[in-house]
Amino acid sequence: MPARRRPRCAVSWAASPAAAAGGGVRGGDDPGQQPGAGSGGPAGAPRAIRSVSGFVSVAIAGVVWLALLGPVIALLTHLSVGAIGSSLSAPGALTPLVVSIESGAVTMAVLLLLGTPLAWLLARGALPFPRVWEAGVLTVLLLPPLVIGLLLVFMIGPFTPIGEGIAALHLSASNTFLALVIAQVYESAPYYVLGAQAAFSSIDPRMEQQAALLGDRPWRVLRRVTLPLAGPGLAMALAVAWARAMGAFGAVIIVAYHPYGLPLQIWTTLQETGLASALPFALVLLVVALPLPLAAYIWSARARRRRRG
Amino acid sequence: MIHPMSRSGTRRSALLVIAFIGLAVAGCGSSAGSGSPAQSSSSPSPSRANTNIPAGTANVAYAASLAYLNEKIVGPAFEQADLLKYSGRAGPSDGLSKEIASGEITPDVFESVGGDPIAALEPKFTKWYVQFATTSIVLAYNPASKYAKQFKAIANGTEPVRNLFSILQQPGFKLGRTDPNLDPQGRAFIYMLELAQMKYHLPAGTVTKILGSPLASASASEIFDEAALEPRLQAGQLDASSAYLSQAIQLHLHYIKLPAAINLGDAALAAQYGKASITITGNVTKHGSPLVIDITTINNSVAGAKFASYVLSPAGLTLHKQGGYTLLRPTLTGDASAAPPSVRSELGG
Repeated sequence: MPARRRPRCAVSWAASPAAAAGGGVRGGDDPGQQPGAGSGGPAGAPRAIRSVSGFVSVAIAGVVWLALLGPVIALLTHLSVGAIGSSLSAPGALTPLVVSIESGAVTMAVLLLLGTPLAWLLARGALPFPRVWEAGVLTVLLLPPLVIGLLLVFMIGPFTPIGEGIAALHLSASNTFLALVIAQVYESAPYYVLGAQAAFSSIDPRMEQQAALLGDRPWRVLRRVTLPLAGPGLAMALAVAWARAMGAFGAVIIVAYHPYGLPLQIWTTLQETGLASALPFALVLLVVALPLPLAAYIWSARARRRRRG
Repeated sequence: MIHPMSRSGTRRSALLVIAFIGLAVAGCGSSAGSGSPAQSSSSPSPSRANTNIPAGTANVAYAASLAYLNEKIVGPAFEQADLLKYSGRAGPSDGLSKEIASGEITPDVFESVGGDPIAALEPKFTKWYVQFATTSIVLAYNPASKYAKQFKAIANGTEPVRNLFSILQQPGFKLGRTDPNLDPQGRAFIYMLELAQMKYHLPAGTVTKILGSPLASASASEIFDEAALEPRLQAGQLDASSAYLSQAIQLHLHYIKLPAAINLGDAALAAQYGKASITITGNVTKHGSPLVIDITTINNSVAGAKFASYVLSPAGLTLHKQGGYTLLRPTLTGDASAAPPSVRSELGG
């Protein structure tokens, strides 16, 4: 019986040995996949063509990669060891780093707890009018972060019903750690929800159905089938959301001028003492924010390779 | 499976490409290193600075309090009058000064609140500035605030201004102001409170009671970015906030005008304003001074000279008056011979 829904991402190769053997998109260029490759003519000619095409593709990729990295290259070429030392050794200079990590961690926890179920429901089409739900998530993504910040003032300011509710808990969503987390959640949530939705969508629902038929309860199906299969995609979605949260600025500067995280620290240092003192904090932001997405990327790629066999 | 020869061929290609890219980057790096930062600091727009050919656009960096006036009124009027395009960039005066000094931005004109941010750029970027208008500090308030009735009474003069400072001390009062370390308005608000404490013989510690301690702390809960302050008040999420008179007029805010003795708006009271002071980041002590608007050109920009002379012309000054500024007789500070002839001619020189 033909599959009713064709799996969309690499995770689904597990149910399709032929796809696994084909090696995905790489198959077309791989001589190992082509019958008679290497035997249809002089061995040197195809190799030369491969070499030229390989050179061109790597060159194009290299140019694009470098263009994307342009700002980072500019950052590295304009930093001096002395400036890094004096900026980072100032009293309290690393407090924003701690604030960024703490608020980023809380933001990720919120996204995992609240965003994951929403993404799963969206992926499974379990919500009425699914396009409306998706459009809602996209709307937040489309709004400029500064505008999100201004709208959050209307939503959670101290004289709004939500703000008064928060005040009743002796908290405030204005210039506090809570405000910082809220701003980061709004800036990063769409990236996580959409990424997680894609990860869940890539799982063949029949695998979950089969597990259920074999007697697994829903929670066990989720734990043993759904999450392991969606794991690499979820990790990537979380990594992207983490990067977004760590660099969040537009909404943050409106609702949480302090406590300073790294982006605000860069901004205020630029204003107070100039570019040379501000740039080292950009390097700190990179060094601190990069390992998690990088680890998620490596783990995700390895997991997918393992499943390909 | 990937063919071993293919893989090694790809590796060779990759190595070649990386070598080429390395060379390219080295080339870019050396050219940037030799020219970029140093050149942009000393002469950010050499073609404009060193020739008499006007560029097509006057890039104006200005104190954020001038935003509405520059973007909506002066900029368009300048474009009509001079056939040059106008491009503005708003920010805190001190911050803009730092950005210019570091070469991060390369405007043709710099307008600041107070002369200090311009003086910090002398003599490398400019050697002069002209003060031409003043504004004053006011207290803008939320008409839906529970204190609005009292605010209105004080604004009308039916209740003494002195009472204002008791309201600001009320528990739960939501005040908004800007960062005194970055923004002249943030400092001006503190000077105003210090001057009020002196003028009205308020109990010692009144200012600290209103603002918390230390006075220049950037982490006080009522401090917001300048871009967020007035929108927050307009959204009804503050009881009151600091503002310049010109902003209050342009944004149609409800506000309380303060006496000249404390509002930093009278150039003749400079000595009195100087009694107020605050120590900001870097252990720098700043003293109160009149909130004068100063203008200069950066790197002798020709387009900048056109904009500056337009601002100082009768037409430009009238627009500033309509925008809520009090006009001063334009006065040049610094090396008058370094100012463009068109600016000097507007000053009658």
